[in-house]
Amino acid sequence: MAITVPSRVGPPGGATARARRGARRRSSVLGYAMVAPALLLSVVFFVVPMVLLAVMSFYNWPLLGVARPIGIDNYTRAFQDETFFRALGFSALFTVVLVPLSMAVSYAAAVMVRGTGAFVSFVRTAFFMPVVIGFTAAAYMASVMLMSGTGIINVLLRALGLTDGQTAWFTDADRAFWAIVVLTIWKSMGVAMILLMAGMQAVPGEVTDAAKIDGAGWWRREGSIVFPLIRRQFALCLVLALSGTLLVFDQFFVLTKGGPSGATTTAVMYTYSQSFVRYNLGYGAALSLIVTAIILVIALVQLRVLRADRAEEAR
Amino acid sequence: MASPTSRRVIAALAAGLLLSGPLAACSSGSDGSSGSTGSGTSDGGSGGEVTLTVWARDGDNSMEDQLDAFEKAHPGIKVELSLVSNDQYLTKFANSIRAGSVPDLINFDIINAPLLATQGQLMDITEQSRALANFDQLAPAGIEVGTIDDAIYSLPVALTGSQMFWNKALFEAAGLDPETPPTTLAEVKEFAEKIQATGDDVTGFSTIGGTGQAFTGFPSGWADGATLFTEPGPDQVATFADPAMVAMVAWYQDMWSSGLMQVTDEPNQDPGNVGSQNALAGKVGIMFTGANVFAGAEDQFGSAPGIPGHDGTLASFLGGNQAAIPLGSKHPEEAWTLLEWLVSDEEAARINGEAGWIAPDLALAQELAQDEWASNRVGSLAVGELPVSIAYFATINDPNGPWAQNSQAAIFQGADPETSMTQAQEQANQLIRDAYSQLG
Repeated sequence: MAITVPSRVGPPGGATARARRGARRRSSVLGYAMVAPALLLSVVFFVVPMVLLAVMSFYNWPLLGVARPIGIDNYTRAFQDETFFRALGFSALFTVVLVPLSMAVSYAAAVMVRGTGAFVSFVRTAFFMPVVIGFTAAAYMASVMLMSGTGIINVLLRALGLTDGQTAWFTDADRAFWAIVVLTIWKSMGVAMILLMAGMQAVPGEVTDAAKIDGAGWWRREGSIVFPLIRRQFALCLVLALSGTLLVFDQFFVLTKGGPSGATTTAVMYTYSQSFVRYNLGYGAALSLIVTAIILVIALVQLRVLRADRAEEAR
Repeated sequence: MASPTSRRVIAALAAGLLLSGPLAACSSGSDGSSGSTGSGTSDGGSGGEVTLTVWARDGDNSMEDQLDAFEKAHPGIKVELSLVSNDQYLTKFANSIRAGSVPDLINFDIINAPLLATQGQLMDITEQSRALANFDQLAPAGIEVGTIDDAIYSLPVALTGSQMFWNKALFEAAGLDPETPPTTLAEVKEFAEKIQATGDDVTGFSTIGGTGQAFTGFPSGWADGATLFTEPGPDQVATFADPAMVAMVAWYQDMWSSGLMQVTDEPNQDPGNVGSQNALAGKVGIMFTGANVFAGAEDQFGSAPGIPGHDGTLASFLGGNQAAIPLGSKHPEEAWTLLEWLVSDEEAARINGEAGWIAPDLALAQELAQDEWASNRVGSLAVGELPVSIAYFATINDPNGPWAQNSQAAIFQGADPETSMTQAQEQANQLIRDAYSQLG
């Protein structure tokens, strides 16, 4: 005799199927109702402005005065704008340098904090805490700490005999670049660390134990067992890191204002300057959309690669 | 026992109620004005009473007191003040125009006067202004910057100028007479060298940031007869490569490479305002800056009514606020009453003085000047100038703009001043053309 187990609590007997459909409908209405506020916020504060931005990019749109439609002139101008390409190049350079370093640091930190114990807990919290302060606040902190002569970093370097303590970090493009790379890694490695750590903790202990018994060393275990099993988390961190770093703005805006001589101007800073300093809102809109498109393409490529990996795993 | 579905419904309702509280608070909080401080002066218009909305810049420390005094003197008019952050002022104003709800009076950075007037967003107040009893006593540069094609669109309401200051004690320690300041840039260097020789942690000279920039750099060029722009209009060009301006940049380059300036004078090197602290602590000999840096410590410092050039003349950068009535104001007559009061009334002038500003009526300001310090501040306005261009922000104020980038390359990185300024001029001309093409 077959035992029917109803999938939902509901009226017994022949009414079960109808009750199940009714319950499912109620449940999906409830679902939509709960998502509706977030959806509304998303439409009002994201979708609508994106559409408006796209429209603006086809206009000569001054801050004060009448907007004039000019077709694709803003886009042709963007593709001939050397300063824009230099800014894009700088953002790309920053990303290419920062992301591998940041991922390596996050991975190492995850290895460090994936265990248990009070000390490990403490270290995990300490590494994560910089994440919660904004980049602007962190940048101001950095500018005080790196002030020539009196900033604590310079004082330490002088005490260690490495410099004379007078290094002006933000008046030279290279020094500023590396100072901001370090600042950004310090500030944002916590997120990837936690995600990777969670993935590592999910690796079954028996697998690594078996490998240990078979004589595999630490590096072998890490590279052949742990890393392949956390590839999905790693890919997620990579997607987030790449798109976030290409959009870097706060640190450079606060610390160097894109100088000296525009050497540290990022793509977003250039867009900001076109829109809110030169008041070319239409042109700024076009630049924003171009940057968005670039990031979209990169994200799609990354997700493609991820899906290919998952297909491989499934086989 | 409640079914899981009804438990979910109850939970959803509870969550909704919890969220609606903060959301409602968020939406009812602002009525479009950001950073609004309760001025304590508005209690709504009622029967015959007019309520004016006024916007002023953040950090404007005299407006609230002035508006209180104005309300007392004009019982039928109430004023609602909103303070707006300087960076967002123009953007906010543009948004209010698009929304069709402009304030009755705007009090804004004087440097934006040409842009606002050219865009046709301000009421023409030529007739009323010229009819003012004290029109001829208002700061000339302030009137000029608010005038386009002989029509006046804004008037100066609170002014400040850049000046030269010196530390009297350090002068004495260097064997210099504290009542005899340097009169030329060459003398400034000479005196700075003597002062710096007196001690290890003493610096001869500082501009306390903004080295070679508008506020303290331009006056030395103007004193020697330079200009920065030709007449405002679609044919305007920049004249940054004027020999006297190049000479000013070269002088700063020399001062920097001679080690006579503070480390904090370098761009982006002084987030904590250590430079001005050093000046107040008596570690800097001669300073080009604004009088408000020394508020409360005036007796230790000497002041001159301006900044010297190479040949003994003084000039000053006119800063401060202009006020205007936007087109579309709902109470233009009452707004003019307020504006007239701000530029002519003695009480308004007195409040300006106490807050560290200078009243726009220079004769009145001079009358109210209690001592040499205040008198010199007023005197700096008489030689006060302002570059007039609708592309001022993009060409001069923008830290990545032509003036800032090229002058800093010359002063701090040893680039040739003439080549740098010529390059700056070309870049600026492009920006001016862009700005005029925006107007259509």
